[in-house]
Amino acid sequence: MEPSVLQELAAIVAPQPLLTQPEAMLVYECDGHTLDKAPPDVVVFPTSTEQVAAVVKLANRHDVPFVARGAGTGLSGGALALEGGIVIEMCRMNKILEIDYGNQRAVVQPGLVNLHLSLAVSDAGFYYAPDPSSQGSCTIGGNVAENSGGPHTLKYGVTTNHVLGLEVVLPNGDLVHFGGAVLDTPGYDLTGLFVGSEGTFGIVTSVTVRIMRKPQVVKTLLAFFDTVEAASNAVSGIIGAGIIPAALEMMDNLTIQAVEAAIQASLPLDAGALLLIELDGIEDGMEADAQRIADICQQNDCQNVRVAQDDAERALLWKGRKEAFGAIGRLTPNYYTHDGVIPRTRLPEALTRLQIISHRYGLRIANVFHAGDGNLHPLVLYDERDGEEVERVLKAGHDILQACVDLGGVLSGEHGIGLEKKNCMPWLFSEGDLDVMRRVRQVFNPQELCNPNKVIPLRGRCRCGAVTGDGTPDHETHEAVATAMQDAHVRA
Amino acid sequence: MSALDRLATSLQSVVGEEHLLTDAAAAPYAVDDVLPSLVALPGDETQVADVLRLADEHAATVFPRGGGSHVQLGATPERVDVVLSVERLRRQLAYEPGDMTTTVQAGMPLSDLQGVLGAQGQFVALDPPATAATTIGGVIATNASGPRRLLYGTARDVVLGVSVVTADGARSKAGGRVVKNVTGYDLTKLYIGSLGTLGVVLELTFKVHPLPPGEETIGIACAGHADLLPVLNALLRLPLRLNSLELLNAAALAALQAGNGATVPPAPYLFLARLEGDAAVTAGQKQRIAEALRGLSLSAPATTQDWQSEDQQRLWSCLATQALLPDSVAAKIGLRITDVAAFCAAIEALLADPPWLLHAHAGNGIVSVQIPVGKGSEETLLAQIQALDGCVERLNGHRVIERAPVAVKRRCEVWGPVGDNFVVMQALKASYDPRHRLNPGRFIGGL
Repeated sequence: MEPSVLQELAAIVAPQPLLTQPEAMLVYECDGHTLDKAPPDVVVFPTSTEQVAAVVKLANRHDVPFVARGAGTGLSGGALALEGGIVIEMCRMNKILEIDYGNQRAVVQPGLVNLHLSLAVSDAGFYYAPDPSSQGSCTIGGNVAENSGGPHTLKYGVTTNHVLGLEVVLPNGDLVHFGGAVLDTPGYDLTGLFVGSEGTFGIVTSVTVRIMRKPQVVKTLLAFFDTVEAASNAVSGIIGAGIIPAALEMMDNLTIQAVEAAIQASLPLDAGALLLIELDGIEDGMEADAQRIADICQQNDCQNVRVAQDDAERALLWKGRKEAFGAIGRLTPNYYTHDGVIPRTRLPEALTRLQIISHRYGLRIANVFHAGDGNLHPLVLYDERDGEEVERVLKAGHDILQACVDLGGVLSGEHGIGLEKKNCMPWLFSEGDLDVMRRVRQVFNPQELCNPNKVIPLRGRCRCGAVTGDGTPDHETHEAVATAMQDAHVRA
Repeated sequence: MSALDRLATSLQSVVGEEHLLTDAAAAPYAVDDVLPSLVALPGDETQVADVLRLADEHAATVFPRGGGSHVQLGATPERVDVVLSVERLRRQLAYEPGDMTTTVQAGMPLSDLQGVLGAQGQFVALDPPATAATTIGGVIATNASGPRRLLYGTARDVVLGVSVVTADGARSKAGGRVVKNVTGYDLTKLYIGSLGTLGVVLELTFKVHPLPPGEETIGIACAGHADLLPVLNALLRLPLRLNSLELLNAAALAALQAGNGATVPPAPYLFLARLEGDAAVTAGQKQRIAEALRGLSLSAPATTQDWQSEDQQRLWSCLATQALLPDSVAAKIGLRITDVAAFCAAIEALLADPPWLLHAHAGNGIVSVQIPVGKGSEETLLAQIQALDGCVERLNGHRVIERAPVAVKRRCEVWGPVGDNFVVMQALKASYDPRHRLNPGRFIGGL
């Protein structure tokens, strides 16, 4: 990047320094999706909406690509500066601008950590419902970009169901407002369209969210089963009984072992699967519902049902769930997380397919997922130092996503498409479908400078001078759909 | 032979002679009294695409239509070349109760769908004012909602996927058939409430919910607008499984009593709180409400009344019917929840004669005001709309005129003013429908 451009950038964000040193770029060369890497040229830390707009306008004047980044916990490469350029790191814009309990909403800056919002409103008896497992570090702005979910989205919905309004710097640098504190704004639902656009429609600089009253009571149950099939049947039984728990999570034996080693919660190591079931709401009828659930589990050959006796035990059980990914790290140097979704009733078939894939490639696959809404998280265990094993991991990942699509599902429930899965998009969508999406992106992002080359494979377009992590020119490989995903990862 | 005649010939060969209506047969499909030249009733999805493609080729404007119950929403069109009714596309395409999803064609009547789902103990959580003709597609195009939105949200919270035909006749889809999905841009949100200006919806996939095990409605009568905010705050703060919280003023209550036999107490204001749960579960909630009300210092004690079973059903169905009363100017107003009471006071202060009917989804800040047309002149009605707008503006709300006599609609901005995001809306419209074939001029800002 030209020194004069860097000088202009520095002037915009002063006194915050720019980061340009190659070693500093290592932190920003990828997000939570580590199989692809590409360093930006520069990282800026704006502290105001005006600065974000000025940076974006500068990038447009000089035809430089830019990517907004929150905490970098994304799992699909959404925050990766695929074509270099500017990473706009939003973490300094982390204030709560307004809390309005009477109207059950808050206005926050995008760099605010998800959990910090719930903590800030907790004493008043409120919380922010979307709770990705990374909620202790991920930002609300990143959640908006990815339309993040979490365990409690079964009952309460994902990010888009809780975002009421946005202030957005468009990819041309113009500032616009979508939605707001009042519901049903006349016109197109631009808020809904923007949430989940993975940083390709612009940069959010302020978010109006719904905050909810904490439930009167919460009841957390653990049910242990011999097999994942039995646990899956119990899931169907609970949903079939017309009960929508706040959360309905499953872990398989491999995950149980890892979690128990990490948190010592007296989990039975011989259980084939466990269900973590949480009910919340009013106290009236809660005991009866919990009993019905316990009965349904017993009818499905449950070994044992354990009810959290107090908040401490409840917190411990959730710690096990939320840190399950980390706990898997005890079993393996690396793991690759998938995020496919299937119709809930196809759960047993999906898990069988996963077992077959595990055997086929000689890879261990741990399962910890949102069973209630069919959102799978198979974790494929591997060692990145073993190049041959990495290839098998990528092939297994391909087969896992294919299985989800075959069963009537989709590629991602909450992690996004990003760079990781964009070449799989044609499995679900026709060229015509993708063209409509491309045209909508063009409306927002006509120069393709704002987080370029994500979500949807471009049509026969190669951005000159673009490089991937190893410094080779990035010739688009999206035409060959079945092999493209592997290619992308092998390059990395 | 004119272009429209040539189009008619082509359309006839697509949909069949009996499904292309003209002249008197087309009259029931008028849009705000503007008679359509042609009404096409395609019988399948390919025909819908063909109708749109042919209309585009013949430079004809197309007005998509479901059951017609909400067709008054939108500015009055200049001319209507083709009304495209999806009323024949009324099949349920998929339903797996265990997955709690269903896929239907856009022309399926909402009541039919609720019937099918109800047989499995489920429902789609949309309860807008509806007639037997109201279609799923129409509900989605107008983003119509009802009292249950308090607990279940609106269309944006229950639509999972959509298939559309754009103005050029191309079919595309977005979203999926699973309850959680971030695969690709969320275009479903864009289509909801877009009034058919971007495309014609063919198919929709919904997330469905289990029917509640029981319901009970508590009416809470308030002596004046000063008591509204404390009662509203108290109700929203209580631990309740509250799926609806409506607020009616005296005029709305009087109309409800007079119009269709629902028994409601006369009162300056009445909240209707609908609780979910079996009898044991609602009993506990009722007790909490009673205690909370006793703890409030109000200008006069709030009196309560219960509705159960058939009485309750009649009450809510009468309420829904009343929302579609003809012969009124109907405005939908969006406010902060905490401003609803102030808005009621402002409306009261206008001393309108005859009085306006006010009916709010009080827990959401959505208020419906109906101004009786009666013998009021166009000028009188416009002046009343202006007075209403003053109340809305002072509270930073927004308002849409959902229904009004055509002469009045022509002279007021039915969607209200546009914001700084209008450039994006314009660009989206231009991208989807560059030749302005679909519902031209009817949506916000003349889109």
